[in-house]
Amino acid sequence: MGSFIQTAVSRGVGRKMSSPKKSKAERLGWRPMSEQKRISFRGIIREVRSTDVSQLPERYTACPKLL
Amino acid sequence: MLDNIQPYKYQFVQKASPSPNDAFDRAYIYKFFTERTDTCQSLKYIIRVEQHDNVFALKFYAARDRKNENKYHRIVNVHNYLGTLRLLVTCLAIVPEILNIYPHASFVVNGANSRDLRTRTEEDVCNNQRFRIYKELTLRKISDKLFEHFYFDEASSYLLVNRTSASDMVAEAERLKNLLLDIYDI
Repeated sequence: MGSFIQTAVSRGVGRKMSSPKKSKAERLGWRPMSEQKRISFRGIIREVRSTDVSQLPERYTACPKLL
Repeated sequence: MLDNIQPYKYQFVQKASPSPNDAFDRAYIYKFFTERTDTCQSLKYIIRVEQHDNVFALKFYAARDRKNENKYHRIVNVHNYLGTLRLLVTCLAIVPEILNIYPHASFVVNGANSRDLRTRTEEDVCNNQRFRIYKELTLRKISDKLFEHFYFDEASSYLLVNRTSASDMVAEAERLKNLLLDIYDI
């Protein structure tokens, strides 16, 4: 009987089942640190393009500028 | 809302020369302290402005992490939204300081991808969270009068090219991009 209760409890019988809380890294799908070491920025930057700041939506242009 | 965010009072610390393993020409170092909050004591931050040719790389980290090789990647996780913006506005406030010394200076900021050292996982390099925040803030706070804006989502880098530094901005951005890739690319 005792062993049955232990087994039931360890399996979560009678409790509300919920998946274990995921870490931020798991939620966002981060990858192991060792995988990203070989990225070459030179290879992934496609082109140099200027940004026309004056054509941005008002939320950008309305903000007082530092410079 | 950004109008109401004032930079922390910062202080120039020193001009540093490169050690044999460093790629920069010289570095200007500043410090500031964040305010004490209910959940965290005041933190000292270091801003490093590293000069490469006429482009200056803006970097900052919490001084308590100075010996941590992941100091630019760590999530300090003690500041709220406004506190984080205030940190970043403080870093931007250094730009005019540098322009006083180097009127033709251009600037580059790289968004370091976050790392969780507990699970040994890291965020994608491309278009990462820090870069997205830096981009939003820079587009709001820096006009196109003095700088032409360039950003590289793929490398999470933002480049402000000084209009007085060259006549062809795209060519200058390309030159600076290649200069920085020669230094930082793996």
